Order: sequence, then C-alpha cells, then structure tokens
Amino acid sequence: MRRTLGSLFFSRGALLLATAGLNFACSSDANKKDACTPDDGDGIISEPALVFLTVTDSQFEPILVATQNTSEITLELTNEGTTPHGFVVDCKPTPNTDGCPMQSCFPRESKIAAVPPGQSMTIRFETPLVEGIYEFHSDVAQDTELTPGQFIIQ
Amino acid sequence: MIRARPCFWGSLAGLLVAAPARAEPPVEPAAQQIEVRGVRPESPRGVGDFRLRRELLTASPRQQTSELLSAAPGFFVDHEDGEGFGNDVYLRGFDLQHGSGIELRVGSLPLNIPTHIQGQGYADANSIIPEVVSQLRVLEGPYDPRQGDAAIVGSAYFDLAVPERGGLLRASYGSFNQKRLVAIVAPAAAGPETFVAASFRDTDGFGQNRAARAGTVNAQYGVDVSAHDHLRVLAIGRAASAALPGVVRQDDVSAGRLGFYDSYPYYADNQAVRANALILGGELRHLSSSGDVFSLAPFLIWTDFRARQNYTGALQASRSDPRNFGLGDLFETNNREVAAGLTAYARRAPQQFGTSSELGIEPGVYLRFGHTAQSKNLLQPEDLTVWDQRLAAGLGTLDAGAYLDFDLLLCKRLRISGGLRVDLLAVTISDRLANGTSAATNADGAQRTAMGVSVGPRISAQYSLAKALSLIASYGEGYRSLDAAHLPQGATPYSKVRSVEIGTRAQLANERFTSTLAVFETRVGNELVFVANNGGLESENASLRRGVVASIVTKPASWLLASASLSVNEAQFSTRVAGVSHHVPSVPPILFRSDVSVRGALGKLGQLPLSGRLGVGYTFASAQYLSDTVRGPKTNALNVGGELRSRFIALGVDVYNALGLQVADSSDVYVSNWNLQPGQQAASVAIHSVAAPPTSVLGSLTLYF
Repeated sequence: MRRTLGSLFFSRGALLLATAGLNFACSSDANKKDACTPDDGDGIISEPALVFLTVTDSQFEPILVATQNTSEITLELTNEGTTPHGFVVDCKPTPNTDGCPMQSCFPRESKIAAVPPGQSMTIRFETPLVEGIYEFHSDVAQDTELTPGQFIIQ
Repeated sequence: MIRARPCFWGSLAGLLVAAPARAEPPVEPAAQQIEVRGVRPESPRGVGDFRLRRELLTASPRQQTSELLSAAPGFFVDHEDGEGFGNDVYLRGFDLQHGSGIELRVGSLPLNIPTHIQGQGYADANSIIPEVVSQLRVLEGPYDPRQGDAAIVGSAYFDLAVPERGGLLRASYGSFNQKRLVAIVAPAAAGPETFVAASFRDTDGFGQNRAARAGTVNAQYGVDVSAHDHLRVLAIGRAASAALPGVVRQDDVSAGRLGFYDSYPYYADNQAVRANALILGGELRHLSSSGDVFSLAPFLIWTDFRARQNYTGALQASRSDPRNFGLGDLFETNNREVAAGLTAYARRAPQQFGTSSELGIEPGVYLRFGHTAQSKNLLQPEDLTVWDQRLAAGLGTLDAGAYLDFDLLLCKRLRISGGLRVDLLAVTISDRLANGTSAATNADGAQRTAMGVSVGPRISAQYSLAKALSLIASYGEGYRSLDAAHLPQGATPYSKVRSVEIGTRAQLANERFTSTLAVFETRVGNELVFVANNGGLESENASLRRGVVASIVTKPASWLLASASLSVNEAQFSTRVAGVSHHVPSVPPILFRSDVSVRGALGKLGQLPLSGRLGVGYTFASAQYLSDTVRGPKTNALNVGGELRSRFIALGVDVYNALGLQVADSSDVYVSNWNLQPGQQAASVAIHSVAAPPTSVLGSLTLYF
C-alpha cells in the first residue's frame, strides 16, 4: 500500500514525538552518581597552592586559608611566638545514611608537630575531596588559648 | 486504499529535470510575515521563531531594550535599575548571564563579544534605544545556518526604524531621583529607517551604592542609491557607569544586622561597573529584478568594559606572593576589544517546480576578527591599588564562517529548511601571567594558539496539517567560543551545542491568534557556571536541558492584545569532578509570563483626538536551584503602565514591581566572611543575594513635533 508523504511524515513525526516524550519523562537520571561521591560546589579541583602561615602565641595568620579540593598544597608554618606551636586540621563530619564515611579528614602529612619559636617547617599534602570549612589549630598541650583558624576547601 | 498525491512526485521530478521558473511569492505558513523594502524575509525556523511588532514589545512597561526580549514566549529579562551590565536572560532552562548564550544583532551588526571576560558571548542590548526598536525577531534554538557564535539557546535580531516621522522629546522622572531624557529626530522627507536618537539616564539608585548614569546615541540612515540598491548605515555609541552595592548575606538580613538594600561597611567599597561601546556598520543590499538579493554588511566594534566586584569579603590570598592575604576580594575585570568583520549573502529568489513546490537557496559568509586585552586583578577596596594579578592576556580572535541555507517547499504543505554552517575559529593567546598559578611562572608569559572547525548541520521541517496548524520538528548544532585566555595550547576554542525540538504552531490570519507548543532538549559541551571565589563565571563540563514551552498570543479585537507563555524545564550540568553533576544554578524550573494591553481612541480633548494605552505584565518564576539542596525564593513581578496622548503631547506612568515584593536579582550559595566588624573574620556558608529594585514609579512627558 502506498502512503502519502503527509501520512508518512505524520507517522514519523508522531514516533519522534513519542520518543522525545518518553525520553523527557525519564530525564531525571542526569544527577545520578555514586552515593559516596562527595559534592563539589564549584566543580574545580586540583589547583596547586602555596600557603604561608605564621603563628604567634595568640593566633594564626591568616586565620583563613582557602584552596581547592584534591589540590597539592605546600604549606610553610613559621612560629613567631615565644613557645612551640603546631598545626593540625580537624576532621569534618559528613553525616549520611548511605554507609559512606562519616567524616572527611586531611591526610596525615598535613600535620605539623611542635615548631620551636623562630623556626619554620614546610609540608606538602593533598587536600581532601570533600568541600567545606575545616578548623585547624595547634595540638600542643599549652595552646588551649590559641585561636583556631579555618581551612576552606572550595 | 490511500492514493498517493501526485504533488510530491511531480515536484521531485521538477527538481531533477525541469527548468526552473521564477515563483510568485508564496504564502508564509507560520511566522508573521514582514516585508522590508520588498525583500523576502527568511523562512521560519522551528517552533520558537517569532517576529514581534512594536505593539507587542510595548504591551507592558519595559524600560530598557533588553527587557523587550520578555515579550517573546519563554523569555524573561528582569527589570534592572543600574547601568553598564548586559541583562541576564532566562530562556529554555538557561540563565544567560549578561546575555552570554544568546546571539544578539541589530540590523546586520553582531552585538556579542565572543571572548568577553564576564562570559563568552557577552552582549548588552541596552546600547540600543528602546524607542527606535520597530521589530524584534527571536529564534529559540540553533536551527538556522545564519546563526553564529553565542547562539547556544537562540538568537534575537533587532530592527530599528521610526515609523512616526518628525521629532520626539521625552522627559521622565521617578523613584530614586531617576531622570531620563530621550530625543529622536526622524526627518519626514526620509524613510522610516532614517533617524537620529539620543538618550540620557541618571539615577541615585534604590539603596546604598547604586547610583548609575548612561548616555546612548543611535543614528541610522537608509537610502535607495539606485532602483535596485539600498544602503543602510548605523552608528551606535554608549557610555554607562554604575556603583555596585555588592551582595548581602541572607543570615545577616534575617537577623536584622543589615538591610536588604544595604551594603557591607567593610571590603564593599568601590564596587562599580563601567562600559563604553562604539559600533559602526552598514549594509549595501542589491535586489535584482528577478528577486535575487545580495547583501554586504561590514562592521567595526570597539568596546571597553571594567567591573569591580567583591563576592566573598576577604578570603583571598595572593597567588604571586601568598604572604599577602585578607586585603579584600575586590576583583577588577577588564575587557577591551577592537573587532571588525562583515556578513554577506546571496539569496536567490525561490524557484518554482511544478505547481506547488519551490526551492530557495542562500549561501553566505561571516568574518569577524578582533583583538582583546583582558585582565583580572585583586584590588584593595580603599585605594584601588592592585595587590594580586590573576590574568593579563592579549587575545587575537578569528571567526571565518560560511553557510549554505536552503528552503524547500513541497506541495504547499511541507517546508524543509536548513543547511550547513562551518566556522573556522582561531585564537592566539599572549598570557603574560601564564595563568598566574605561582610566582615562578609569573615571570615569563606564554604564547599559545588554539584552533578548531565547527561544523553545524541545522534543519527544520514544518508540515501544515491544516491551514492554521503546523507540526514542526527541528535539529541544530551551534557553537560558542570558550574562555580563550585559559585555553591550553592546541585546544578546541569553542563549545558545541546540540538541540532538538518537536512542536506545533497554530496561527490564524491577521495575527489574531498564534499558539505554540514545543518539547525541546539541548546539550551544551561546556556550561558556564558562576563561581564566587574566582570572581566570575567558570567553564564546567557538559550540560543537558529538557523542557516544554507553550505560548499564546491573541488579538481578539483591534484594541486588545494578550500574550502568555509557560516554560517548564530541567537543567543539569556535569562538573569537572568525574561523576558529579548538579542542577544548573539560578534557573527557574517553571517560568510563566503574561502581558495584556488595551489601546485605542478615547474621544477628543478639545479639537484634538485623544488616545490611550494601558498595559500589565506579570512574571512568575518558581524557586531557582541555588545548589542541589538549597532553593531560592519564588519571584512574582507585576509591572503596570499607561499613557494618554493627544496628538502632540503624551503623559505616561509606569510602575515596576507594583506588588512591592522584596526580590533578589541574583542569589547564590557559597562561603564568605562578610561581616559588620573590621578585619578578616571567620567564614561560613550562606545564601548571598543582590537586590532587585523595589517598587519604582516613572512618569513621562512626551512631546511630538
């Protein structure tokens, strides 16, 4: 049976329309990902950075450090105080019900033990993938009054 | 048994063997037909191909030219009080920041700046004075081979003319000490294309640090240089500047620490924008006696842009000397470009085959080359000294494109239009900071080149199911230049867009009723996303948008015009982190717009006729995704305006945001340490907003002479 061009086009068009409609109805899979893949607000990763941090007997300077996630950081800590001070970044809670890690932590290499007054120490480490604000402080026992700082992973 | 109609086979045979004959101009089956000096307009492409006359453009109050786009179904451009920035445009799941992603042209002049530092394809339509816009054609989707760079979601083409000859002087005054003056001279001896227009606007702004000022000149001259040749020359000049208040944190506003229209006392000083532009162009068009058209349109563009914006407070540390930190995140972005080019095409008159089929062909070329100086620095807010450099680059750009468009009408029912567009894009980058990643690499710059060829097939098929009802399916591939300054050596300098739509259009004669329904899907190779800590837009990975757009425009009586459109869409993009995707921020999933206007004669005032116009425009935008888990507020915007005119004098009043709602012009979620105390404070995550204008009233007095 021969068909008119119009009917042919119409039937193809209807098929296309139905396909598009079905496709559209099933469109919510674009955001599917591994449940444990952490979010990334700005979509930028792996930007190496140099960080110069000084610490006195009362505070760190700067009190804020902002870098990207999964980035190689070279951090130099200079103690300008009169007593030894260190540098350690606290883990950040990542509460979830998916069975994923319950916290995100900086690597072991990011910790600096007590640096004597007037001296510096340089470390290299990679920032974690999980974005957010991590608190850093000195874990020297006498530094309870030392104001902590913020390590912002963007 | 269904009998095959002879029309198709007859037409096909005619195409193959018959000698072509000149056709009578056929009836346009879809878009409104506009005749411009006898030249046949382009055939419609896709469901969302609308030609908007001035009556619809002025159906509700629209102060700036960019806002005229809101008259098109699916578009939304919010009302701004400031000057200097191109407006954000919402369309089909896109939040086109500063117009980057929609191709804008005035006449034959391209307005987009392909590699602008504030967004690739940046465009500011406010360099056009709204009173001289006679018609606007919008193309939703990249379905026409004539569409060039930046036509990610579509195109908008402004036609300028002043049909009412003589002179116009309009003075407006309103809220926030806002003053606007417009003067138009359109000599009666010349045609509608010829005019000189100037406008000046000054406002104190609706809150702290919002004073703005702009001056614009448009001059166009159209003349028949012979019986077959027409020349049109256009000059556009604009200077605009505005102070910017910056963002406010929602937690500070909610706690009463800061007003919604206020500005932070520390680190927020000296935010501002300044934009200057000079655009010159012309078009020489030859119309042969057989109906063929040849057009040559050169252009020259100079733009100078500078913005100073701080989104995050004082988080940044210097990249060249990390010992410098906490001096304020006031990013200064500069973009200065000189560009020249031309468009040319040869449109053959449609050739008839058989009794009911015809074929039109149009080859064309596009050339644009430019040089751009770009920089991005961190400034100290108090004295504007540079404390860190992030970008210093010189860019040479070239876009050499060619297209072949065909327009085949079969059996008076089936129209297949489209063709192929090929663009060679080349960029040379003189990166004086080598991306500024460290002090070591800042010493020497880097020279890089990037080149690529974009091949974009585009096709649209329209079948007339009945005289007033068409089924339309379209597919197109477009492109947009990428952030050239950060391109690596040998990279492809453009991002691809692929879009498909299927829909219907119902249209009665005399434009009394037009209705469209389209289902679309658009994929973009690289999404532009706002990243606060980098002080602007960043290129991310691919994005996907799907949605439905429905519209209706009706003019049941000569005095009544009503339009409404509904857009429902979903927009996702993939980040540079594998496996991570997000809702595209700032895109309202549901957008509804409606305009209603009544106009006509009201009687006589003394011996003079009295006419009036009343218009209402309403917009609803559902809560935008600020992140995957945080959504912003809904937007309800109502604008009302009216005018009374008695031949030589007119009085008008426009009210914007008549509902008096507190609306954010933009909102984003990110980390900042804005504070009401001095010094570098602790940071936290918050919603940050820039306020849109509160209720604004503007009265106008217009004299015609």
